[in-house]
Amino acid sequence: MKLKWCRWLLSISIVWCGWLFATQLPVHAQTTPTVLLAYDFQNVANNDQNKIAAIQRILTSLNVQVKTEAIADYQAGDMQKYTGVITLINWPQTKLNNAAFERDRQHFKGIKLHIGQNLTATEAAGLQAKRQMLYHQQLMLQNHAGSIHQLLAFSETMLTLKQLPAKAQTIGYLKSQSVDQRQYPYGTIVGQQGYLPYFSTGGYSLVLAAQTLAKLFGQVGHYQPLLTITKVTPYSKMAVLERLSRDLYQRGIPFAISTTTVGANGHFKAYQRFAKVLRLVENRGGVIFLKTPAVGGVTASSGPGLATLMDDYLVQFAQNQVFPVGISTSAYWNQDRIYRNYALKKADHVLLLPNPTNPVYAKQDNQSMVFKQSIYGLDAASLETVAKGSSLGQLALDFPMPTAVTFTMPNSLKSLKNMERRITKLNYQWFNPATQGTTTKITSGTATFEFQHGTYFLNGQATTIKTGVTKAKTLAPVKPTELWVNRFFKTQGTVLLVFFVVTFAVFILFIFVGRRVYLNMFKRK
Amino acid sequence: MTTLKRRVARAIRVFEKIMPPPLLAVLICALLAGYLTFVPPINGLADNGDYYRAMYSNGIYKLLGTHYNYFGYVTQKFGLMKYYNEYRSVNFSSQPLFVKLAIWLNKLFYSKSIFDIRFMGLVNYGFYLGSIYMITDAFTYPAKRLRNYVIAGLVVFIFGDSSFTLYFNSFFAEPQMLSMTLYSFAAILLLARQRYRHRWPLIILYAISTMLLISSKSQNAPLALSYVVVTLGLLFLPNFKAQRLYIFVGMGLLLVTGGLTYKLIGSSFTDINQYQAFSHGVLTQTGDPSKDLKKGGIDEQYALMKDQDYYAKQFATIQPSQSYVKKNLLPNYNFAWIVKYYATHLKQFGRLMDLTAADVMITQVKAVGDYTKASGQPAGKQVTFFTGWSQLAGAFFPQKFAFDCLLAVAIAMVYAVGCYNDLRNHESEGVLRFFLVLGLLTMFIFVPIISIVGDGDADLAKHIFMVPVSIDLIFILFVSDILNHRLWHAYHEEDQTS
Repeated sequence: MKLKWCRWLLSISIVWCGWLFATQLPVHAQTTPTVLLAYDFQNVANNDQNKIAAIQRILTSLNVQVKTEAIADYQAGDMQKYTGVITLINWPQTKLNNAAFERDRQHFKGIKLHIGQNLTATEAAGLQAKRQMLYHQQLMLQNHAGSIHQLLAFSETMLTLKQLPAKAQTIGYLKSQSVDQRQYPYGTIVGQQGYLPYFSTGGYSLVLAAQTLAKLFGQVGHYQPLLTITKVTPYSKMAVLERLSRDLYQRGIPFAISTTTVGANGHFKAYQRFAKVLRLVENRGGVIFLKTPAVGGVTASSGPGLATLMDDYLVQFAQNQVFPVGISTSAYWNQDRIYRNYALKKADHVLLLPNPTNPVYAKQDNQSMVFKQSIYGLDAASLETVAKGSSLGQLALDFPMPTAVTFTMPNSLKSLKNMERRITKLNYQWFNPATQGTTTKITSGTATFEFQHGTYFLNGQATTIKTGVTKAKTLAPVKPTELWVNRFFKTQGTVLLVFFVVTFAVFILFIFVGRRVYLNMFKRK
Repeated sequence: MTTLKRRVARAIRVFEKIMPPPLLAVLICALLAGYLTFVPPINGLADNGDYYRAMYSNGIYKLLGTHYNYFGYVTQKFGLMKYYNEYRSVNFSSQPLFVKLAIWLNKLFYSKSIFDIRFMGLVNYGFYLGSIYMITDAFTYPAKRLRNYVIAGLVVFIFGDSSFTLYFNSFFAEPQMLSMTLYSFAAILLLARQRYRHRWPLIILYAISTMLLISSKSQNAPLALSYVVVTLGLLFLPNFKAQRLYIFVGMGLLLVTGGLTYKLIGSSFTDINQYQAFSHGVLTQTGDPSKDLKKGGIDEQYALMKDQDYYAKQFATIQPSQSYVKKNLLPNYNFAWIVKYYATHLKQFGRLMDLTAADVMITQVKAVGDYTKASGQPAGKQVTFFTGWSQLAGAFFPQKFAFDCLLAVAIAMVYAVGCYNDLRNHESEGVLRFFLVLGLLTMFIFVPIISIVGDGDADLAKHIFMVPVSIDLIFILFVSDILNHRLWHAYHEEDQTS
């Protein structure tokens, strides 16, 4: 009897625990905020689709999940699912025509941010400020102290705010070049509502916009930039890459490279050479991000193939003691269900780079995921803009999100020199993944790659990387079992060939013999 | 019993009268190809990335807002440009003539803004049926015997094969190549067999179809040489001395067409071929090409491009169409480099040629799907309906290039005997036929070599399209000549009773 009671008690408690666990899981998942990024138009003619991608990347880097949607596609009531909503105006000349969106946004209680023009009166009222339109201005963007500034392109119109409430926070100023040198706020935050008069995908504007987003979503952080060399491939000039790693090592600059690789032909001398240079990179204070491959004709069913390919890449790397710390990819891969599930999910550190001109999706769903750390890839050129004689890069910038300042892999020793000169000009304290406590993990099939405080672990075991030629753990090549039919056809070809040759020989012999017999018939005996 | 026999004989005679072998062949082919091409869900070939060449310069575009499918599924509907078309043809080709005709029919009967691929199919279908009629007529004329139905059946079995007719619903040039080859073959054979009183219509048909064939694709340019061989036969036509000059002019025209087709290849086109001749040729069928590349003055790293396509099927380490490859790899080698490479790597070249020989009879393009997405079939699914010949020949044809060469010599010898006999008897049939066969044999042998050197083993089944067509033609010719007792000499009515 007692036993029966115990059994009952145990099963009830198991069910109860299970239920508790199950109900707690989504609560846990909700700790990352989800934001609706609603844009009016992509405005491809102006390349403004890049702005959408850049905001997505910033949010991902800030550990904010983002769902992107055109305002025209918005369905009434959807906004309730989100902790915040961002309105992005790319084409101010046209009016929004989704009343449901504007109504829902007005009643929305979460975080609200408006980027770009056409800030409505209701939105301005929410910000407890008055709108002010600036016409035909050349503005200068600067920080509060005035120590960092960037000259902006001439703007026809710009909508700014005035008469801000006392509790308002401002991030950066726009200073007019006119005689009175008036200042207008760039990023504005009033309570849970924010405003950015414009958005740019590079330069100081981007840094300040990211700061605004970080403050608004309560994800404030201070990050040193990671020097990253992008567009490395197995076809890059290996001598240049080797030289690059040596030069940076000698100057004590930690760096990362983002490289694609191949999943086959690991025994080729060319691959061995590639792997050797990558090992040198690892030994010279560099870390490696595996860049996702270029995309050709993919469909929604390309996922398993992609997963296998990524595994092949990683396994072949591991066999040659190359251990990537994360995956680098074009931003749009994070907006695609197939790419996320079959490639990006393998890593907990992701480097998000700008999109190519024509992104090819497998199954676009515009629902990004967050990682343990997502690094925003920012082209170094956008920080080298000269404003009043001083490059932005010379001023230690405070990046609000994990940022990689990227340089394209040089193609010759001459362009390498040029790149090194540019790096010197950027006066940054570069982030060092080895000493600054980065721990990363990639899981690929049965293998795990970990990087902790500068040490690489393969399947949990610490590994030292030897620079010389490693006898790669060559796995026995998998020979496809040859079908007897194929063998038959192979032999059949040879048999027929031999048969023909023999027949030919006999044929020619017969002609000669026959001719002699024929002639002999006429010879008198 | 005798009455029954007589009745059967009469029924056969009536049947022969109302349904001669050529007509029967056309009817069956029309049914087979029509079913594949027009009856929904339609079949065809999916885009392998080459369609744009035929589409944009002719004012056809991928419909916006739909997911355009490469490789997996056949696309049925395209858009027709309404306003100024800024695209220029990427190369000199006769294909636009056929595409324009399809567009015109589409505009006339269907829509001015939407293009249905079936109109392309219709144009191909029309030319094809005409060529089937002529070719069967050429094989069977002038005999009136029941066994001609066997020949007609063979024509249907071989050229009615779905691996050929699937091409109809596509923007590939192959369907036009097929019918033009059949027209020019039939024209020569009918001339040899003196089918019509006037010769000039057939000569003109031959000239036009051959020129359309040679200019339909840049890789057909070398065929001009093969057709010069075929044209040589015309010089032996009886009572033709006065017109010989025209024949020489015609040969000149053929060579010019070939030269133009070769010269006017667009740059993107040459890039693709040059790249794939490397990645799918030089780098394949060998252990580790790294060292050989270095010796040849190319960065050894490019060895890792082995088996890469110019347009990645799914994923690729690097997109070869982008500027990196164009700037760093392509300027380092050319056609002469590749020829020299193979000359010093004969073993590898031999393996590649055997690979080609193995692919010669596989005419169905396996790389792309044959169904539309609406059909509910999986992506890349292949049609198996009426593919008996291509499957049979694909499986049993010997996979050695040396065999092909020997076969060519044997066939040439057989037809040389006929040629010699007819020359002695002052007849022309065997002579024309010999040059025709010789021309086709040069295609049979040289097209694979040119494909490998010019484009590697990429898209091999498509590039060596002329090889199976030419050997199929020779095969039917051989069988029909045996059946009608005309293999060793010209056709004589009196032989037939023996």
